[in-house]
Amino acid sequence: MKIKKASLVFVMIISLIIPSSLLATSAMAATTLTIESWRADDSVFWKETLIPMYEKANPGVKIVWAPTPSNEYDSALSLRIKGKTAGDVIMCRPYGLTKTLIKNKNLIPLTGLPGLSNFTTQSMQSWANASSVPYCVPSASVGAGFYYNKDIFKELKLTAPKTQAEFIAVLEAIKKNGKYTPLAAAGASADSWALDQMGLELVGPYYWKGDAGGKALDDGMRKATDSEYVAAFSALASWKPYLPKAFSTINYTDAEQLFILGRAAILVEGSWSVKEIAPPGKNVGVFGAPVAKAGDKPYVQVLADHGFGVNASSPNQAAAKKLLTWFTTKEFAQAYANGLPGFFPLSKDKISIDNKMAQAWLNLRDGAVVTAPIGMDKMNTGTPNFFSVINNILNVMMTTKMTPQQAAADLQKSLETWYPPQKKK
Amino acid sequence: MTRKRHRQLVLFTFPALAFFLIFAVFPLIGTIYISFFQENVFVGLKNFNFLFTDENASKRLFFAFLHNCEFFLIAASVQLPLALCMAALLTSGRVRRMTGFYRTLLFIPSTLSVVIVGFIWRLIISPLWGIVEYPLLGEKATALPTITLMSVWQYLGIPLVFLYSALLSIPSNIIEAARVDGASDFRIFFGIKIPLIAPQIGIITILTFIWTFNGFDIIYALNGGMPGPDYSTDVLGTLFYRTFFGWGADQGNQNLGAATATVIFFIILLGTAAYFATVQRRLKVSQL
Repeated sequence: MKIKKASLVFVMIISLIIPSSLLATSAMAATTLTIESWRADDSVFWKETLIPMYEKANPGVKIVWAPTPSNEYDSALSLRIKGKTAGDVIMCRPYGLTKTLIKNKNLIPLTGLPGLSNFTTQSMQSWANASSVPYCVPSASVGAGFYYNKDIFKELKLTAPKTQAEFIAVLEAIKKNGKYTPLAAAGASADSWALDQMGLELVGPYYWKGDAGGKALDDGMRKATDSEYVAAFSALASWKPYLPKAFSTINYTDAEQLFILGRAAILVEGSWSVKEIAPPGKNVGVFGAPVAKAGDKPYVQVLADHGFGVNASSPNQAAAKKLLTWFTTKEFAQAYANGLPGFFPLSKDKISIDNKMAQAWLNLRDGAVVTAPIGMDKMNTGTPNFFSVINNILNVMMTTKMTPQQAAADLQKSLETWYPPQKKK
Repeated sequence: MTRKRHRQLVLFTFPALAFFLIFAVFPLIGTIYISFFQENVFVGLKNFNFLFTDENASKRLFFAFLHNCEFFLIAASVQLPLALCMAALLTSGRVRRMTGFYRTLLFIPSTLSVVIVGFIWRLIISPLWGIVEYPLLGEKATALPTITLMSVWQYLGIPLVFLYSALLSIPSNIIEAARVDGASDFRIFFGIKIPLIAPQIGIITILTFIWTFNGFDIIYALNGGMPGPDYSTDVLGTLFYRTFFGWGADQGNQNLGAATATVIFFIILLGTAAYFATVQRRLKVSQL
């Protein structure tokens, strides 16, 4: 009896101990650097190309690629930073979270990092503090625009539009033909970010004059209800009659599928999906945001997408900095541009891009005014933040009868509740 | 002997008790505790004050609560009668040897992952790929009822099994006696069976209440952390997630999130207590 009881207790204790011992970390290689990222899509490229490249040149260093789903990245990373369990190298969002991390001293300043001279101050701005001290190595920028199916355009005798009037005429012609959806875009509320980054921020800069318009809103010199911003909202709203049926349920993948299957003639998208939308052999072209008057200079949005910084609580800061130095080299930029077509390096090096489609995206910048999206910096620091508010407003505007004027008024109202420069005096 | 038995009881309940204390009671108290802080500074009821008075936060909280009520009412009023009908049919003897087959079939969806259920239904009712022309998930008025019905479809098996076993446990001699007295099937069902399984119906209602007010998974799987269109499917669970963990560019606030969780806890606690005090006590098992 006694033995039985003792053995029972023994089994209980063992069962408590075993799981905890399994959790204990195993022995590690000399130096392990973990990279925090939201680009789970790029895992194969990192694991099979970039990491072996670096590990081969730097024996004794082991790199672990640790992606988190994009929507959860900001919150998950913040928690890990707070709990001091975040990786050594952090993929930095432009503005937003990165500015918070800089403020809380969670990233180390990169002043004096060899290779940073390879970048312009402008391109480092989205990851720098107020006095332009860089905290992340700029790695990639993206852009938004329109893909079009060249076969459908040929069949209907259409050409890529340059002005808003031509754009509407093309959409009208496709609609009249009736065989194809004129313009595929994402309208489901879960993907409402798409209507902002690949909608308002795509067609808007022309109307609000790019960065000047962004600054005027940031400084409170202009209101969202002023004519240039309303015109931007109207340009987006002009798509409404040409979107897929039941637009409010079309999510991002649905829109892509419509275009890939040849059921939609035009797709509004980002340069980052070159591989999926325009694989070699697909007869696809690309055009940028239309202008109102023929001959006007187009505006092209260049969205700083990601950079890399060093976690301030990492025990391997020296090794991490060395890795970041490699991220500034031409070798890295060249590999990156070709491994991830549609992501464009931000360094000054002359990079050749093999992917023709990616090159076509880059060509959109020729002769255009290059501009950053508005609202990403200061107006994203409060509650409710600009990004959430504009996403929701645009989703409602595009899926219901809400007018561009009402949408602009809603945005202004939200800003006035908390954003100091826009607060009612 | 009794002392020894007592010790054995403690020994055998200890693992479960320890588990319960560590993973249920402790986090609950911890959550309430941190809801009184902000950035590690004690702020008293400030977080709750913000939740209930801030223009934006209180609006979201109120609508999330309203959506939860809608979620519960639809789930309870559809799921319970449906499960009862199915259970009655299964025990009626009309389906004969197929009982086991139907019972299994009806229970299978409950074993599926919510993500799969959400994905399948989203495709079935998609105007683009599916069989419904109307954008059910894209309209403010229909989005939440649609998601609720998906959930009802998935979990129909659970109340069904409850009611099925309750119906089976009714002694057959009572039914036979009633039949001898000339009672119709209809009369037997409403006059004898329903009163005998009333406590089970009560338990299922309260479980549905707890389950819907803790609801989060299917809405998150379908609509993410800012469930639209225009927050029309935002429930307390997703509101809590967004407040605590953040969503997109919105950064989470753990203390405010804990306060939201505490509010949800008290809503469920009060709802359950009120239900037990008023309804469940009166649902006595009929004396035979």
